[in-house]
Amino acid sequence: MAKKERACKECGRIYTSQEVCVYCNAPTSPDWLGYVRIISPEKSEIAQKLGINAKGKFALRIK
Amino acid sequence: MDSKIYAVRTTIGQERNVADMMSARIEKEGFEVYAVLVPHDIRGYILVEAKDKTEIEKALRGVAHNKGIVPGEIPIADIERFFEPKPMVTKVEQGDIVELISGPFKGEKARVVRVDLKKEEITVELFEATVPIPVTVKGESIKVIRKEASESETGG
Repeated sequence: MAKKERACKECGRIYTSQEVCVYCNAPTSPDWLGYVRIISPEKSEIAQKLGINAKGKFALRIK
Repeated sequence: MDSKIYAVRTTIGQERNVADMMSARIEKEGFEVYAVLVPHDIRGYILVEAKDKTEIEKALRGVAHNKGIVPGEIPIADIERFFEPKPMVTKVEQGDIVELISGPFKGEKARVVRVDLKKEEITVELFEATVPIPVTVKGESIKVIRKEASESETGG
């Protein structure tokens, strides 16, 4: 079975197993919902609405 | 902002894989696709934001488990509800009949006796147990089989 990915409690970035987010130093959680892949944050309305201004994989709800 | 959103049909359970494979192609080939959203509560669909439909078609070429673009652009207002996924517990009510889908009681049927929205936990009573002992489980580990309102159908 695949290892549970973790999401940063602050920014929502998804990591394979990292316990602390490398960008905001906040802890990560294995309990998250929703997945968004941002490719062009400057051109994406979805990214803007979600307040994401970086490329990458993000969770939408982190517990 | 000059972008369009379309839904893409995928094989159920492969939504995330399609999104990842598509994203890898976009980054490699430089297609004008800006974001891919995998909603938590709709299965078999992903939402793709791009300059236009043609860019999505290009990005999907050769991607396994993709079943094509759903015709018709989706206004961003219609997808905003997916930005804050609602946990499973919000759809469960006291009295509902559920099946446990993970944990030590996997496969057992039970009746919901309490819902804790804050902790996202559900307390159930297992049908098979001789003595009804309340068991508290995580919201994600159950599947609703029958809502409380429709229960009278089984009478007699």
